[in-house]
Amino acid sequence: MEKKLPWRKNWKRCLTEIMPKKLGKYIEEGVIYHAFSDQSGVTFYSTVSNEVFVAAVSENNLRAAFHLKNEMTVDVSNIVSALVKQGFIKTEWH
Amino acid sequence: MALSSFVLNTHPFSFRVSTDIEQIVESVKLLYGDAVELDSRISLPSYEIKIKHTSVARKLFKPQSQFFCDQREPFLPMPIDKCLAMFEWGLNWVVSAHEFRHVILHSAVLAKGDKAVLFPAPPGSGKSTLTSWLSHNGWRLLSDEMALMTPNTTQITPFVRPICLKNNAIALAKEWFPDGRFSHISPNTHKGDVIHLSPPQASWHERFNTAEVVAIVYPQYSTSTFCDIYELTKAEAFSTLTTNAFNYGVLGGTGFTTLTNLVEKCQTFEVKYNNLEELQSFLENDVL
Repeated sequence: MEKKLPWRKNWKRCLTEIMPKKLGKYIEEGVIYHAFSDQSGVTFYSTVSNEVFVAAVSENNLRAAFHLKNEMTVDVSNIVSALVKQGFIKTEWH
Repeated sequence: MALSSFVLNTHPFSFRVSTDIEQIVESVKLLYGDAVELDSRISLPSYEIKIKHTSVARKLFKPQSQFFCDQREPFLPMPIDKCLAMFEWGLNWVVSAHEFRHVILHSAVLAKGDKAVLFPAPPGSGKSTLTSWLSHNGWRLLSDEMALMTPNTTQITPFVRPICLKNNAIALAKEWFPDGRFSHISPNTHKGDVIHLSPPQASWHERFNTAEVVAIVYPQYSTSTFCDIYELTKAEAFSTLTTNAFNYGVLGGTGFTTLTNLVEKCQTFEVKYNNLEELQSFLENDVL
């Protein structure tokens, strides 16, 4: 039987595993985002479905999900800029 | 008892309450003090509340109470000995279901001066016990149950109401605050035995003064832990905060930017504790 993680760790595992696969669906519809100043992650909010994703450990996962170039610096705001530039994120809302 | 009516002026909302249950009248007067306006014609209320016996016949056999808000009955009737719990939870429902001028978080809020700390936590984490302790030890209570945030700011509007204590916390609070204004116990609710404690006068007097949030603390009572403190990253803090937001989905983008703005401007901690004095010392010396 799978051991249940403590509640505060569970969300992290879920998002790490699920977010990159599902995020594409939402950003096609339009999202707003915020990159946290301590570089702990990026949060995406779907303006269509009212759902929120927080990518807390996801620089590499985001790269993989959106086929971004590896030479990009590991900086969350950098990744967000790249996503905006490539048209993945349609709305910036800071 | 004939239907009696009064206005509960709990800034920023007021409720015109009509009831034929004597226990409600007595308890509300005891718990809310000056916030009760007996002449219900004085002010225009935000909501019309009625809490009453179900029927004359049921007054004699297993009496029950019914809660109405603006003619709607959101809950099934409850036994009369739980009428005060029903009334208080009903007011919580009324605000969380109808209020969209504020971003509402399921969180206690306490302040020193105009610096406030949010304490979002799930039921059973000791939030109300902590709230009662701090509010009787130099802090002012803004809310035990819901934080009303002005969108795109860190400003909290107080919504001062009695503190809801459950089960083991009841005996503790009665020991700590022998002069406290306690309601009767509502026994065997779905949360166990429940009692309501009126906050100290200082909190009532300052119920019109807003405060700015400077920190978010997720409290978790743990019998085996003296006081362990972890600082959360902003992503962790945001993620946890969204799980405690009531009307987040309705406010949409405004809710999102308000909460991201909040975590950017605040330190966020998770605290496991069994010693309230140590936690209070941490809050006063390291957080404010």
